[in-house]
This record gives sequence, C-alpha cells and structure tokens, in this order.
Amino acid sequence: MQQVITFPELVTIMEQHPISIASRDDVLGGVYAAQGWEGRYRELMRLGRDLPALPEELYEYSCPVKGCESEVRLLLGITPEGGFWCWAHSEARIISGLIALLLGQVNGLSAAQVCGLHLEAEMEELGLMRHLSPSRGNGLKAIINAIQSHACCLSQQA
Amino acid sequence: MPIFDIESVRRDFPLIVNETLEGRVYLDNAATSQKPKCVLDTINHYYAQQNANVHRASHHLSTQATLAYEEARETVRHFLNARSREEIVWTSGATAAINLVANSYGRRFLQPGDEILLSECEHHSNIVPWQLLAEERGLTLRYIPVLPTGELDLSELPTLLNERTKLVALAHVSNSLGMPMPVERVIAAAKRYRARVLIDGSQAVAHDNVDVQALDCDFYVFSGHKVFGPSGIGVLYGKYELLEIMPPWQGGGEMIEQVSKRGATFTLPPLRFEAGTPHIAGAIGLASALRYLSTLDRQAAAEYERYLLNGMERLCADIPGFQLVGGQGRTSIMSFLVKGMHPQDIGTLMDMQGIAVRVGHHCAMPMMEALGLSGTIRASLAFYNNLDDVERFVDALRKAVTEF
Ligand SMILES: Cc1ncc(COP(=O)(O)O)c(C=O)c1O
Repeated sequence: MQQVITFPELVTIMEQHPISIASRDDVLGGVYAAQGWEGRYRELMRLGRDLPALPEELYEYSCPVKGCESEVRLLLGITPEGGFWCWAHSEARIISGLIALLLGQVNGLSAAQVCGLHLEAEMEELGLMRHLSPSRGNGLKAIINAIQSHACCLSQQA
Repeated sequence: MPIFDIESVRRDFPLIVNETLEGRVYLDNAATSQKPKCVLDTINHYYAQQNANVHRASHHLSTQATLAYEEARETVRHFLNARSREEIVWTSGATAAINLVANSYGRRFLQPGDEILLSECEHHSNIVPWQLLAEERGLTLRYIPVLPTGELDLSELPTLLNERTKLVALAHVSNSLGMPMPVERVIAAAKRYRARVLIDGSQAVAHDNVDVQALDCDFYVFSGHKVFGPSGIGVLYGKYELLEIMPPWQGGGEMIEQVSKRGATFTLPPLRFEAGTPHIAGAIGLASALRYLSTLDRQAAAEYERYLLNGMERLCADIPGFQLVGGQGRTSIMSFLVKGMHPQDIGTLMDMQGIAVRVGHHCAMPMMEALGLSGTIRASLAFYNNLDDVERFVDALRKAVTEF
C-alpha cells in the first residue's frame, strides 16, 4: 500500500528531484518543442534515460505500481512546508519519459494544487493519449491515479 | 518460395486487407487470429436467418439452428479426427476447457498425494486451474524443466513421472517462443503410468492438422479465436469413456435428463458439460473457419509460414543487438530481445510505426523466470502475412533500434 513519506530525512532527499515545477521548462522544453512523433519519442527516450532511479533509501519505502508491463516504482512525500514530491521510475525509457512529464507538473506544488490539476490534459496536448488507454498494461494511468488520490486526500486533511 | 497463393488468401481476410490499406501490419497472430470473410458471413447469416435456441423447441427455426450447431460439432470432430462427435464439448475457449477438466475430472478422480505433471513452458491457463485444484485436493504439481533453447529437458522425465502421477498437462506448441513440445514422447511415457494426458493445442491448431487418435491423448483443448474463428467459443475433446464417467461441472438447462426438487439426473456427454444456452453463432462460425482451412493446402501453408519466419530471422540478424530467444523448429513465432533496449520501448516504437507485436511475459511467467528473462518481444505470423509485412516489420525494428 502506497504511503506518503513525511520523515524529514527522506523528504529532504525527495525535494532534490531534478524535475519539478521550477525546472520543468528547462528539462521538458525539448519534448514540447519536438516535431513529429519521431522527434517527440526521441526526446521522451532521452528524458527517460536521464530520469533518476529511486536511491536505495527511497526505494525501500516505494511501491510497485500494478498494471505495469515494466516495473514502475513510486514514492510520494510531503515536506513540512506542504510541498508535494513524487519519485517514480521504470526500466523502460518511454514510460520513464512520460513519468518525467508528470513530475514536471506536480513536484513542488502543494497537495491542494496537485489535486486540482488535470494531468491527462497535458498528455492529450502532446498526442500521448495512447499511453493512457486501458489496453496498455503500462500503468501510467495508475501512477496518475495514485498521485491525484493521495494529493486530494492530503489536501482534505490539511 | 513454396507454392501458396498468398494474394488470393489475403483477400479472404477483410481486416488484413483493411490494415494493409491503412498502412499497418498485424503480427500478433498468436494472441488472436483474423477471420476470413466466410466466417463473418456465416455469423451474419445465422443471426439473419437461423437464430433460435438449440436443443429446446421443435419449431422450424430451432430445428434449423440445432442442425447447424450439431453439424458444426461434426466439423470439429473431423478437424481433430476424433472417433465420434460425442467426444467434442463446446466451451468458451481453451481456458474454460482446461478448467472444466480440472473441476470435473480432477475433483472427482484425483486424491490427496496424487501428482500432476506440467511443463515450465505452459500458458497461465494451463497452470493456474491445476494450482487451484492442487490446493483444494492436496495434490503436488511438478514441472518438466525448460532448457535455454526453449526445449523441454526430458532427461528428468523418469523421476518426474511416477505411480503417483495421475495427470499430465502439456502445450502442443509453446505460446511465448513457438517451440513445438515433445508431446508424443511425453504421452508415451505417461501411458506407462496410466496417467491421463491433456494437450493444450491453442498454438498448434492454426498451423497444423491435429489427429487426436494418432496422438492418443485423453483430452485436447483449443480456442476458436486462435484458429480464424470467433472469440468466446472453444473446444474440449475428451475420450468418450472418460467424458462418460465425469460429473457435470456447471449446472443448468440442457445438461439434465430430469429435475425434481430433490435432485437431478444428468444427460450424456457432450451436453452434460454444456449447461445453459451455448454460443451458437460461435460454434457455427468456428466450423466455417475449419471448413475454410480444409480448402487450403495446409502443408503448403505451413511451409510458407516457415519461409516467412526464416526470412524474418535472416533479415533481423544484422540489426545491432538483436537476440533470438528459443532454438530450432519454431512454428511461426519469433520471440526476441534487443540488447540495451527495454522490450516495452521496442513495442511502443513498433506500434508508432503501425506494426502490431506483443511485448511482455506472454502469460508464461514461470517460463520467463526459468529462462531468467523478464519478457520478450514476440512477432507471430499467420499464413495471410506476406513478405511485405515481414520487410516492413524488419525496417521498423531497425529504425526503432538505430534511430532512438
Ligand atoms: C498455449 C495457450 N494456452 C491457452 C491459452 C488461453 O486461451 P484463451 O484465452 O483463448 O482461453 C492461450 C492463449 O493465449 C495459449 O496461447
């Protein structure tokens, strides 16, 4: 069962994720600018290659995401200031690239802000909806659901 | 190139014609096959002109529907060369057929301490029903190990088979690698211990003729959708003397002789195992597919598939990092990996180029574990594929590997 990490030692690591709201334009700009599916998928593969895997101390608390053809590990955390942070990674690069796109939309926002996002809209804009279809066992949808249900739950508690 | 009129065969499959027009290539035939036009016409005709419930009423339509339905059973009998049509039980598919044997034969005749022998190459459908049964009845499951070539290691057979072995369940052809399994040898060995043998023919029937009398297996199962017929229909062949002593599994209409508030007596096989209104259109559609196959030279079709497969393997050989999984003698399946790339990425990049292949463990996790793999990419052919499909697949794979 997914839990949301609040231990200060761990959330300080989580806050270091290279992909966040603050860095998104730098890191993700290439995907948005890419032309044609080839360009876009090359950028996704590159993003996926660069997406950091969960370091050991985080991996220990992470969960496998169900419904993934490739294993995806997921960990959510919240800082004392209320910053929402997500770490996720897959061995498959395109999935990791798509994860990077998600992280660029949520990391560093408050739980309430994440709860209000429409994460699928961005995928749609980039022509990546096929990755959310129910026939794909890749679990991207499961990741979005996990992020948003926890964010919404946390924002109600706050 | 073998003599096989591929272009005329291809025209018989509307979906393949359409996919070609749309610029896509279908190479996921091991998951499900496409249907020739005659099957679509048969189903349409059934609902337009024949539809009625079977084995129930004596009016005109019901008589027509029942005749067509029982004729379809005869077509399957002929296809498998079973002794009588009473040995052909309609099910919803291979999975349902295996579950039927496990729940009827297995529950009645297997005792705590008995053993079931499977292989490590089985589809989950030929593992999980036996695991459920084993748990309920206190049975032991044993597995014939797989070698890195995808062949079974029969050297351990003498210890795996023993007096406690009551049932052997084995694929005719493995679905993840396309390796033919040594069914003749295993059946012969099982006979020595009077163990019953079930053969899962799901991946065999689309590629070769089957003769259950020559095989001398006790049960043979397959799904209609993998042999160019509709989905939701499948077949359990069982030797009549076994079906006769097996209790019903599911209760309902059509499988009874007489019902009172105190109990019921059951009708003879095969109807004993066909509770409820069956998939009539499916049965008739499947028979249409099998009749279609009988108009083809199946040997030529099989040779043609081998020719395509060999061409595919040869053309892939110089793609950087390309690694075939499995050894010689594979039928129409190429399972492979590309060094340094995740199978799922290849699958996505193939899909983006309009090529349908399958990625993952192919519902054979124990086999993947035994081979130390987490999954493969699988391209699977049918006789309606052509060289153009193969070349487009190879070009797309080369692009996925070298340009991303
Ligand atoms: C070898 C084998 N057995 C059983 C099955 C299960 O068939 P179905 O899902 O049609 O019941 C399959 C299908 O993938 C298969 O390939």
